[in-house]
Amino acid sequence: MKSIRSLIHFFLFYCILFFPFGFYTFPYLEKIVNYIYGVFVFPIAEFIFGENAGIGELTSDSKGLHIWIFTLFIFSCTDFILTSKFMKYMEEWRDKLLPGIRVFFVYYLSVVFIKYGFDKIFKGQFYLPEPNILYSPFGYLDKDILYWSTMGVSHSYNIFMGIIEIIPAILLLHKKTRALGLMILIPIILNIIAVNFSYDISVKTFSIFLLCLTLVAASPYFRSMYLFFVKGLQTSIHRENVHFIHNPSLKFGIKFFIIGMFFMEGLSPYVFSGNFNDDTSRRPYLHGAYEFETPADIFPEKGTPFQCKRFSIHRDGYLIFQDTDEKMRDYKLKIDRNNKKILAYDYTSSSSKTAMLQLEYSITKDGFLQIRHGQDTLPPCRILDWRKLPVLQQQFHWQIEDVR
Amino acid sequence: MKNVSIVISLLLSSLGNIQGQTHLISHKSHSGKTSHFKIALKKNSSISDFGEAPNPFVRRALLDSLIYVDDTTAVMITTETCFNRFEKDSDTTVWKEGTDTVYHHPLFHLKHDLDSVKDKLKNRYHFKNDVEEVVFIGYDNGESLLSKKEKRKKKKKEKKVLKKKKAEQKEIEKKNKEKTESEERKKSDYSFIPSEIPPPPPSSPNMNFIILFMITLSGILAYIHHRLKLAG
Repeated sequence: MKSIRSLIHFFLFYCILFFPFGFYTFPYLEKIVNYIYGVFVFPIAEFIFGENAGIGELTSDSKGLHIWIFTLFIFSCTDFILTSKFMKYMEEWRDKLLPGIRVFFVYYLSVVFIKYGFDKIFKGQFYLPEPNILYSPFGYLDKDILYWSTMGVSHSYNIFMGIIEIIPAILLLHKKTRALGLMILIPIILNIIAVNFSYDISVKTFSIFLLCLTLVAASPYFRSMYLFFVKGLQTSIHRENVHFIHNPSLKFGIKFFIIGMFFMEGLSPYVFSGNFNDDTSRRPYLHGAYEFETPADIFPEKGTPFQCKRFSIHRDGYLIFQDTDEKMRDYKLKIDRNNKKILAYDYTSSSSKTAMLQLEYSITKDGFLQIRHGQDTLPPCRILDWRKLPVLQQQFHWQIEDVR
Repeated sequence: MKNVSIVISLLLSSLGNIQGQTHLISHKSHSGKTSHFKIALKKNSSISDFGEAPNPFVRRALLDSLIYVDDTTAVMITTETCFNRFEKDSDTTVWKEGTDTVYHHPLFHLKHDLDSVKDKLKNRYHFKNDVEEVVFIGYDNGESLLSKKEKRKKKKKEKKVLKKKKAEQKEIEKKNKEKTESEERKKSDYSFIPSEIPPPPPSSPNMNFIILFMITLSGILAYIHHRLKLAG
């Protein structure tokens, strides 16, 4: 039992070291992990699945990530067996390390939740839905983008969620409040896992990993919790005394530095960009949604009829056409403002560097977008004020009589 | 040779983008078909993927010189590459160091308005170096060609224009007193403002080092403070 516990600790420790989580202050970690991943996973995948293993880059919830975690598990098992069999003195030393490893877990959880918390507060995570999503019929959206967009429309809820994540993250940093922080964190992560599974959001593996870390870090407190809550006995929480550094002043200084780094990790993307609310950050030129007065066939040469009724310009540089049957076609976009041209590139084809569609545009005095496709002038496009859509309005009704 | 549209498209794709999302949600956010996801992932796999905000672009272009050629043409000489971490296969959008001939640039054609060019370069374009270090060839403020009287006249005219502008602004402010109206106006105008201004560089190695240095320093100070507290 003791050995399994030790194995789990070391496996999770390896996972932290080699998880491809992108840190702002230390982006090289992701690169190093990707390099090591490339060296180990491709040969293993080829060996197991053959040449056409279909393993891509190390991304969330990918086959590559699962093989990578399996590889790390094999590493930790090998390491464990070797030290148990041949280096008995190492075994004792390793068991003494476990409380220290749990402190490492706690600090990792803290930085991850500080990062996610500030991402929520500053709307870096659940951002305002793009115009093409806002003009998509509800039933046509997949559950994940629907959840993401629903979360994105309420800034106040994002602030609340962000604070709820930052509070336990801060509590974890102090020995006295660590148990409380972990107890708050467990239901939060359980909720994240439930959302990821129920709405099919592809961060399932990472959220399970965070839960495992939390459970292992909280394991010394379980007995006290059981005695207090279930048995109704008076008990005290056992605090582990881990001393990496014996000099108290040096310990204080280093802790100060680490906490500073954690907050730098969470805050610096927003401090450097000067953007503390992504909803109000400037959008690129022509960003928005446009509606043709009468549907127009933009792709007559493609064969299949596509009566475009609306099109949107996405902030990441995409042009999205929506037809009368609510089908969407999306293209990578470039705007040549000097020659007033909209260039659309098919990012799915091999010839993605040549524009497959060139549209000339002009903005008329009465606020319409006039588009020419080759020799044809398309019907005028009305510029849609997507920010006035009901979903984006500030609505709060304390009493139902206030609803108008 | 690259034209301005490339620069604009680069800026367009980099504007204030600190959205966090998974690859799949990012793909679906522009109504990308799930059948196209694997191809899109291969072409753009370096963005954040665990739902947290992604690491931003790294931009460190230096503008060495700006040479005025004629009304439509200017030459800019840059050093160091400006690259986009989000675009893996981005030959067309990467701003490489060297000499760029720029046509019909809205700013660089202002031959006799050097101050304005400098001001806008400083505030709207995020070259790493100071504007004063840039060598401007063929640009001036047009003042040397004017006599003293003309200069005075010009100044008086400018003052009048400024006064007029101030008066106009006051009138507008009076009109926009009601908060609800002004908020609505902001919202309605917002999405249609053509934005040329890229955000300040979200991250630069130097800035990171400064912050890191400050945190280290504060850690050392905390150590000294604690030590003194214990001693005394």
